[in-house]
Amino acid sequence: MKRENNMKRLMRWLVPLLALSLIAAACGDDDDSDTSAPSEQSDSDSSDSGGSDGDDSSDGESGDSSIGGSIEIMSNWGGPEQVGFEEVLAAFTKATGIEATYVSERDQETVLPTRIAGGSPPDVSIFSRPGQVQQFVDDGVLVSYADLGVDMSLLENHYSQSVLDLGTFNGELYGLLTAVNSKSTFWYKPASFSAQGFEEPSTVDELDAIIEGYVDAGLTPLAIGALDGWTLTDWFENLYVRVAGPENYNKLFVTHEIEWTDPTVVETMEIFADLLTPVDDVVLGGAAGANSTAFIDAFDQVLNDDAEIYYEGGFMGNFARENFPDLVGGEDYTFFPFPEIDPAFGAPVVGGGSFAIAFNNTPQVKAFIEFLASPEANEVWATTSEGARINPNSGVGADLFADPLTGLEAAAILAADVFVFDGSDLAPSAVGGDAMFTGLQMFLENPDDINGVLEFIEAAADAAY
Amino acid sequence: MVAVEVGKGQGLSISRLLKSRGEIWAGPGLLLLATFFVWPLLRTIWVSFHKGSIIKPTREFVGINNYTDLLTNDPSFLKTELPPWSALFNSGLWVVFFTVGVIGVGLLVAVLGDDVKYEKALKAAVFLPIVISFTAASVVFRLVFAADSRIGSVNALWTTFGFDSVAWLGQAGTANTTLIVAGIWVWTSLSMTLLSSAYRSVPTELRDAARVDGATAAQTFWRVSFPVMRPTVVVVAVTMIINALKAVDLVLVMTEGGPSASSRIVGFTVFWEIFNNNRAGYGSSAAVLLLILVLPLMWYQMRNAGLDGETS
Amino acid sequence: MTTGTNQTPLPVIERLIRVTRKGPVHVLLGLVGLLWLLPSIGLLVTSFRTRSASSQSGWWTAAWEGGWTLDNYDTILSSSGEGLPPPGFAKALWNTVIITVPSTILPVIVASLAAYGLVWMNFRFRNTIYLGIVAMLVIPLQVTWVPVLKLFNTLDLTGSFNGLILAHTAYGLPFAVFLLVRGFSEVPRSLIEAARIDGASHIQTFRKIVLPLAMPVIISLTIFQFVWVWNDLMNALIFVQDVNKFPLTISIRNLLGQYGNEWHLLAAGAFVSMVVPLIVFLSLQRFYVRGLTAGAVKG
Repeated sequence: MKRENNMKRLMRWLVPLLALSLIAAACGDDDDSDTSAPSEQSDSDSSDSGGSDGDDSSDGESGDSSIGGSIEIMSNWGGPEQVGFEEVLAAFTKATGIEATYVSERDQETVLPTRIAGGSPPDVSIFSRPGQVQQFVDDGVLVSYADLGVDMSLLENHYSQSVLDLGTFNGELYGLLTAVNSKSTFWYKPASFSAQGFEEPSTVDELDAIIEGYVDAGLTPLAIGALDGWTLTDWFENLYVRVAGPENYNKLFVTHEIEWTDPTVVETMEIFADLLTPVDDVVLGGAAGANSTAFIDAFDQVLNDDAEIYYEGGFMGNFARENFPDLVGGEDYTFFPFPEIDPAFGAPVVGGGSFAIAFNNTPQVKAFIEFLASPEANEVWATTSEGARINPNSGVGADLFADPLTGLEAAAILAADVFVFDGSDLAPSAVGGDAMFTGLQMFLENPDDINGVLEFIEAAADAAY
Repeated sequence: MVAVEVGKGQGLSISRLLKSRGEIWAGPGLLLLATFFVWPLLRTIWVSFHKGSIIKPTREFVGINNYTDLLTNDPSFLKTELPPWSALFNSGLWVVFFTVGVIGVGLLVAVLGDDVKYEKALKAAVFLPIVISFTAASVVFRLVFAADSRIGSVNALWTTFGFDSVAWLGQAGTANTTLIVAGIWVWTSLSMTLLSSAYRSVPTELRDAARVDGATAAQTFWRVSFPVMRPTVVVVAVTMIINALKAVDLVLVMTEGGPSASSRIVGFTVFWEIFNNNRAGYGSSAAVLLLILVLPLMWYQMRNAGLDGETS
Repeated sequence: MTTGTNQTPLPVIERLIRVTRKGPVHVLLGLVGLLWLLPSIGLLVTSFRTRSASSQSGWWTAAWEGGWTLDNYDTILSSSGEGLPPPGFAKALWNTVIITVPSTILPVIVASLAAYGLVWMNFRFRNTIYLGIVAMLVIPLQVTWVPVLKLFNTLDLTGSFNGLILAHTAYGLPFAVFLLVRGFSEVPRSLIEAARIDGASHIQTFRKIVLPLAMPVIISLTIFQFVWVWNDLMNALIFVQDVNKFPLTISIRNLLGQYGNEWHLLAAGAFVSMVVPLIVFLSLQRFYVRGLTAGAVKG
């Protein structure tokens, strides 16, 4: 019968197919010779691997001895950023003979803790949430730089104490800050400003006047990508540090000595409300439109002339270049520094970055950290073909950058008197990655209910710290 | 046991073993399930009584605090004031509308689309969404429902009728509904495939007999075909209800549960609390709660379409 | 579609009914088809447009707004340099095949055996076990990751294909068993009893009676397990830790930078990736034979 034939037919290719694929899978596993990092991470006895693999590498370059071996580095960079970083890794391999494998995990916040808990972390992770790093330290899964034997003078020579402090937890240095960006850049279109007779504002009051000026001219001033709640937190952080100063800033985000219902926070939110209301006129699409627009799409809206000014970090320049190749950075779009509020606190730079943290104590990891801290590495990183990054390393000059806007951003970071880290990344994830987002989205929908929003965030903070 | 008895159709003793003990047939499956599900489930229940991180989940024993917090203290999970958009409420909506939508359209295509000339094309069109992966599906729906009417297809249509653009994914009221629509778009593929094969297995003689007796097409369907298909419909319904509770991927990429946590579902809360907020115990308690909520469904399914080999 | 085993021409009645089933039904079906197809077409058009074009105008305007490009596909398909980061398209595709084929075949086999045992054989606690298996459908996979990963580490399976295949097999079991139990229960008891009376062993009954009759369900299951594993992202992220073993889903996803700006590449990636599952779906369609139970009673 036909159905029996179908069955037979199915069986006939089923069994060999299964066999073939199992064999292929097995062979695929043995195929580790062309991979640089065996997936099973041992602990500190990879000094053995140093001896065996060290031959086919560099030609006795400078730097530490060609110890060979391999290292696995994980971060959440992909696309162009990954291209840039791989160039840095190539320089690393050339200098030390160590094979470096970069594992790109866009969902690093999910995958990394899972791999740690499961027992197979990468050697190094470059991780952007210091609040989470603190939790790793408390859980005892990180190796301190002291334990690695990293040459501290190398770090102290090229990095300011405040930068090293950012990577210090429980009194020990665990993470080197790399790949920083400034989030105190306010984007605008020079043509639009001159059409309205505006000039770059130096105070928030002047900014408010510009916003109102646009509304009076019948234009929509702001596009906000509030679907990505962290954009709202960046607004808040810049405003707060200008209202309350960097010490209070850290008290709010790092230690929770200041609560979210504190008068300084209320004052900040009131200024924020002043800027944004009436929301339907000031923000493109009103609260609902902003809450459903992703942050890059919102910037697109500004460059498409649906809105006029846009607030987010220096990295927006990359997207403008990718998405609007016809426009010229610096001419058609550029940024002014986020304006002041209290002259006593000036204009601190709020920025983000990623910390290189170590899970395994091996000579390769030590060599990598030291390489990462060297001026040579950072010069390479500033001049990669794609995805050039700014590093707070004294060997990097702002003039190295191919893109003038990146150079401008780098200059601002290097010259800043005060550099504070992105608050939502400093706080525990339940607050900085969740409650703040939700609360501020709620605020956008209802800017009058400041107390409701702050109590909401405080409740989460109370449980989290 | 080891003795080999060669007899008519008896074969080796192994097959005699297999003949009598169902446990051996089910053995490998049960072993895998125990390792991959039962053991982690027990561990999850244990963790749900603690407060801790993913790496150290049992740092502090807190009894049932996680559960009470979840149910009384977490407005993103259960909101007691209007508007009620919160994970539990949204999941309730999903369970009802998503399931009805998926089965309704699935039945429609399976039954009415059976044996028409364009059947293959139609079914491929309905199947396509699940082949393009959740990530891509979310990209599509972000585009389709974009608030900007120059980019968003729905708003483009909406505005030509003279209405204002609606920010479908950006408002508490419409976000969850939009997600349910996306879910239906993706999952009708499965329901249609299963219901199609169920419909096809209805013996044509039965249907012909009914029509000969003068029944209309509708009556033939409901009185003859549907009862035969009913067990499959139940299977599809149960599967879809469970999908509704677990559909994390769609929610994550399209709205991340926003705005203001108004489009979360229970499965999303589990994932978000454990992996984003690093609250392993709290997220685990949501997972256990999920299981408890579904138990009546399981019980009903067992009662009505149990294990015994029965035909209609 | 073919009418399968029935060799006789369709009865007059069927043909009559078919004639009257025109008009509103076709309109309705056409509407459903269109609704379902439109988003996919939108995605297809988007995959041929530049990022800036997609952010300035909707896909339906592409005919006159332009912005056409093949670059997206170029980026996906090239193996090195400007293309996908390691492992490159060809290797990633091969990895996906290596992962998906066993992860489809194994759970179907294991579940078939288990379902047969549950339905047609006696053993203790079988009702409880069935209930338990169905309950496992509810368990979110994420809560199983950490314990399973720990187990893999002790068994030295971490990061290997075998580990991921095992995981997929296990994760696919609850639904597979659930579906197959239903499918196997449909086999008429009379047939089974007749076979047993004739002296057939369970194996023979399984192979010759249950499997052929339940073939449509098994096919459906195979298709869905295949598509599911082929498109799986999260489990691969957790269990595959070696960059060279990344399947297509991960390597396409990694085209996105940290901020996810390059979603136009995802559109192209989706279409490249979907060719194989679509072929699987279409080619397995011919195993859906109509009215199988008809005529079975005679056997």
